[in-house]
This record gives sequence, C-alpha cells and structure tokens, in this order.
Amino acid sequence: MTKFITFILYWLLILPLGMIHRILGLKTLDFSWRNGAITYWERRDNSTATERYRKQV
Amino acid sequence: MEANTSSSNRKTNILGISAFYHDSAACLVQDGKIVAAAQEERFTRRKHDPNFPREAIAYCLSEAGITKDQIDYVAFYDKPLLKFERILKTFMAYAPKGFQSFSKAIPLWFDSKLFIKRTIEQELGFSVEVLFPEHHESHAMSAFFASPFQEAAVLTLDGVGEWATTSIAVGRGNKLDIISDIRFPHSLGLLYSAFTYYTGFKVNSGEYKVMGLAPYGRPIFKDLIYEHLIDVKEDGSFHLNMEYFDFPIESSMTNPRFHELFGAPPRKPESALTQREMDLARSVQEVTEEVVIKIAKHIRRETGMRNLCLAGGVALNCVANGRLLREGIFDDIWIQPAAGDAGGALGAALGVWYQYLGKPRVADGFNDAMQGSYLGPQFSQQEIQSYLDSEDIPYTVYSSETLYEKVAELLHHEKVIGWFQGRMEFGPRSLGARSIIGDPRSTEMQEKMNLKIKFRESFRPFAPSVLMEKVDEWFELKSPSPYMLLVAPVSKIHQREMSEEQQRLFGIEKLNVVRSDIPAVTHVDYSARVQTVHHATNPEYHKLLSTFEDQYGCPVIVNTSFNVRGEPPVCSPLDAYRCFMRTHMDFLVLGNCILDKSLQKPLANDLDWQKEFELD
Repeated sequence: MTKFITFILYWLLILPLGMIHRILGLKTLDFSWRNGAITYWERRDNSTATERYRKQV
Repeated sequence: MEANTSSSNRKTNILGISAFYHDSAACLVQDGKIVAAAQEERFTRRKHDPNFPREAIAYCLSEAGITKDQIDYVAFYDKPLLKFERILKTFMAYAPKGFQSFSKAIPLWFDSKLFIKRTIEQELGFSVEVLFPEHHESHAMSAFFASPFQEAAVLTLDGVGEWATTSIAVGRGNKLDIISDIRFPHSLGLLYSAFTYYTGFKVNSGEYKVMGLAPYGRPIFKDLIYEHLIDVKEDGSFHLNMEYFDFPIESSMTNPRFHELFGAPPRKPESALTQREMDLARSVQEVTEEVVIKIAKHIRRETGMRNLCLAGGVALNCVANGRLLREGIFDDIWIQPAAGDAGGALGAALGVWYQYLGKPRVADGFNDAMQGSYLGPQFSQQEIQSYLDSEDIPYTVYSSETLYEKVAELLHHEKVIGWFQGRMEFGPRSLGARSIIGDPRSTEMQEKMNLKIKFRESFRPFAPSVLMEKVDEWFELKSPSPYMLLVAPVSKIHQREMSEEQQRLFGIEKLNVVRSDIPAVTHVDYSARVQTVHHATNPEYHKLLSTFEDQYGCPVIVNTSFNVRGEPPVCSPLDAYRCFMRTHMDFLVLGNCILDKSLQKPLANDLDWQKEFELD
C-alpha cells in the first residue's frame, strides 16, 4: 500500500508540480550561484517560543 | 502551558528527544538541571542508531528516579512537517530524477516521521505536551543555554535541519533569537561530507578521518573548490554550485561533473589511500576553516558579542575550532560537546525550560552546565564485582589509594589499558570515563593502538588528556578544552626538530617520524586534539594523571574511545569486557578492579565478532 501511495505521490503530484513550477519560473529550491548578491544570509523573524514550539511547521 | 504536576512542589521534568535521522538520543532536564543524557547507540550497540531512543529514555527516567507519567513536557529536536516540506520541494526541483531515493525515503515518513507526537505518546503510554523547536534552534540552545555565558552569539553549522544549514543566533539570559541563516541545499557540512564520500569514507562518520588526513596533504585543490564549488562572500555567507553535487536526491553525494573536475572517480572504500586523497582532504579542510573564520568575523561585527558558542556537526571539526580560538575574534568560545544531532535533544529540553516556560537563567561566566558531559549510566563497585563473579572472570581489587599507582605503573610499561570509571560520556568523545589509555611517550603506541586495538587506519591520530594545571606547559593552549574540541600545537619545548631527510618525507611517510616528547599524540603538523582534565568534573581521571606525573614526570596520557572500529563506545561492564577480550588490550580497569589479559580465558564462540559491526 505504501509503495502504491509513494508511486502515485511521485508521478501524479511531485513530478507535475515540479514541471509546472519550472515552466512558470517558480523556485522550489534556490540554486542561485554567483548572481551578484552582496550576501547569501537570509534574515529571520522570530515569533515567541510559546507559539512556535507548539507547531510542527 | 500547565504541566502534569500533581503537587506544586514537584520538579518539572522535561524529556528531550532526537531521533529518526542519525544519532538518536534522549535527555532529561529537571527544573533546568541536566540530570541525564545518552545516545541510543550505546545501549543497542548499533553505531549512530537512528531509531526511537527507547532505551536511552528508560535510562534517563531511572537516573532521575521518575516514571514515564511524571514527564511534564517532551521536546522533539526539530519540526518534522517543515522537514517534510523541504524533502518534497527538493524532489519537485529535481523530478523526474530521484524517484529511487524518493521511494526509499517516503515510506519512512509515512511510517513514523510524520507522526512524531503519536509515536512519542504510544511509547510513553499517555498523552503529553510535545513541543517542537527548530533543528538549528535546538543546536543553538544546546550551545548557549549549557554554556558559561550570560550573553553570547551562537553559530550552528551542520548538514541540514529543516531548511537551515547554517544559523547565527544571539542569546541573552534565558532568550535566544536566530537572526539569520543559510538554507538548503547550500551547506558547508554537506560540502565536507561530499569530500568525505569522494575520498572513500563513510558520510556522517568518516568526516573525522578527512580532518585527520588533511595534515598529510597539500591544499592544491583549494583554488578549484573556490572557483567551481563554493562562492563565499566577505561576510562568510556562501552558496554551492549545485551542478556538481547529487546529495539532495542521491546517496552518492557527488556527480560525474564533480569527478571530472577533480580528474577521477571517487576512491573505493577500504582501498589504498594516496597522496591525492590527502591533498583533497587538506584542501576542503582549509576552505572550511576559512569560511568559518569569515562567518565568525561577520558575527562579531553584526552582533557585537564578545563570546561565541558553537554547535552542529561542523562544530566537531576541532581543527577549525582551534584556529577560530587562535584568531582571537572572540574573547572566548564554547562548543557544545554533543554538537551533533544527539545534542539536539538537550537543546530542545533546555529550550522548553528557558524559552517556553520563561524560567530565569544565570550563568557565572566560568562553569558550564554540562558537568563534564558525564551524563550517562554508571555502575557501582558492587555491580561490577557481581558481574565479574557471575561470569567467573579473574580480577584483582585495589584500594582507592593503590589503584592509581598501579595503573600509572602499567602505563609506564607501555601497557594498553581499558579505563571504565563513573558516568558514561554524552557526545561522540570519550573523556576518561569510557576510554582506552596509553603512554604518549611511547614511539610504538600510535601504531599499536590503531592496528591492534582499534583495528583502524594507521594514519589516524590519537588525542592527549592533560591535567588542566599543566596544559600550557605541554601545548600552546591556555584555555580549558574539557571536551577535546580544540586542536593546538605541542609546546615548542616538547617538539623535536626533524632532520633534513625527515623533512623531505611525503604524505603518509611522515607518520613514523618521532616529532615530540609525546609522539603518540603528536600529529604530523605538531598538532594535538587536547582534552584538559579537571578535578571538579572527573576526580578519578585527574588523580590518575596526577599520579602518572608524580611518578614518571608526564601529566599527559593517550586517550581514545573505548571501542573498536564500527562499534559505539562501551556503556556497561559487559560491553567493556567483551571489547577488552576482542582486542590486544593488556589490562582492563573496571572501577577498582584490574583485569589482566594474560589471566583471562578466551571468549567462547566469538570468532566472528568483527561481523557484528559495520565498518565506519
């Protein structure tokens, strides 16, 4: 069953979504390399621990 | 935020867990104090065991004298759904490549990784509040909240957590804020692991070998790495050129383009090492050090903090740590001894106490909260003797007064000794509780220990334990290094100059040159991975070193982990005895008992023991 779900998930969801993202020029991963940016650091905004720790996302 | 307390006087028990990737571990924090911490591998005898840390949890609860239902909070060391999102997006980015890896990885997620709360509650047998700090936040909290500093900047570097691979945080009192990060797939840890793979070692455990191999090589590939593989900005931030790597979707780490760049396919594991691997190791090691130094300078400028804490797998690169200390960018640095994923369990639990429950934190500027990292199980003299008697094992009991003199004498006679005392260490280093020890003055000791005791590669260096009071007499180091996480040169007065002929030696030929008064712990570049021994945290080991110095004039001994290649360090007297009997160790010290190998009967039906452990 898991094998079947994995198969469906990949070929009917991951692959088409990945292709659509690429066609639309949307990034799922940042592959930028020597793109002229001054820095690669990304700033973080922290909410309070009580909010964050309860979530799994 | 109400705890399951039945009485207002009862202590708050927080269980920290890291699991399902590698090095699963558990930790128990009771009213802010670290009561117990251990890696699951020590109990299951499976190195880097990633499974749910059932036995480590059982140990933590027994050490604290509590039952499962007295746990108030469980802190898991990362956010599983965020990690799952990263994995799905990664496969989306590479599709249609990567289906094989996808079909291997995803069932594990459906099986357990997506249902951490349910798994934890099933294991514990009751419903409990489960909290999820981020992976790098857990690392950062393990470094800052356990450190001696009231205020510090924190740098965490590892392969990858959810998305972050490198993070900068600022800790003040009981608060820690991550201020910036670098995200997957750009990872200094994974760059190092790619070279670990390419030089024929196992990823996630062979990185130490690359570090140990580096001094034999020349940095001739450094320019190539900077030109093609990593773009580093002035502030230390970096991106990798992903055209050369396969690690996001394959276990092979590097791809044919990478192999073409360096002119050959990856070295086959266990095949002969050549100068090329040494040069590759040296090159990636130097790049790593330079990036770490640049980041450190940026952190100092950005945060203004005078102290720095470090955690994450890359923080176990003690050569880079030693260089960071010598550069003097920060007044002081402190590195979490369980810097890898196991330490995430500790950071998550401390985070719940300080950040989630808002409990006050006061650090004194000198003492950390790790208690020497001796946070694992211990066995009483009575338990040890009961075990030995039950197995009919011959031994001699010594009084506390005579034990140390006897062991010092054995060391002086170049005997290799298994040393098992007190509570087991938490983290990858053996620090004098579960150690194999020897005389560093011996010219034979390094080869003997590598080939006959540890059954590992002859190039690998051994670390010295030295009395804290004498560290600056023997090494160019003034700071404490209780967790063996700093590399420093052997003092000039103890170094021996090489002859012209010796200086002309190349690569591994350098190995057998005696280059100091303590050759067994002096690496080919005169460096040593120092552990300072402190009376306050390990009085038994301190006494042994003091006795060795009083009798033979040397406050240094060789200290390596009590295991053979591929085996986790020993935990119990049974593990210790088995390891002792399987190797060419001469004596075993279990508490106050000394066991002489020449008096032991061979283990029955144990000829195939080496198949038990997968080589690392």
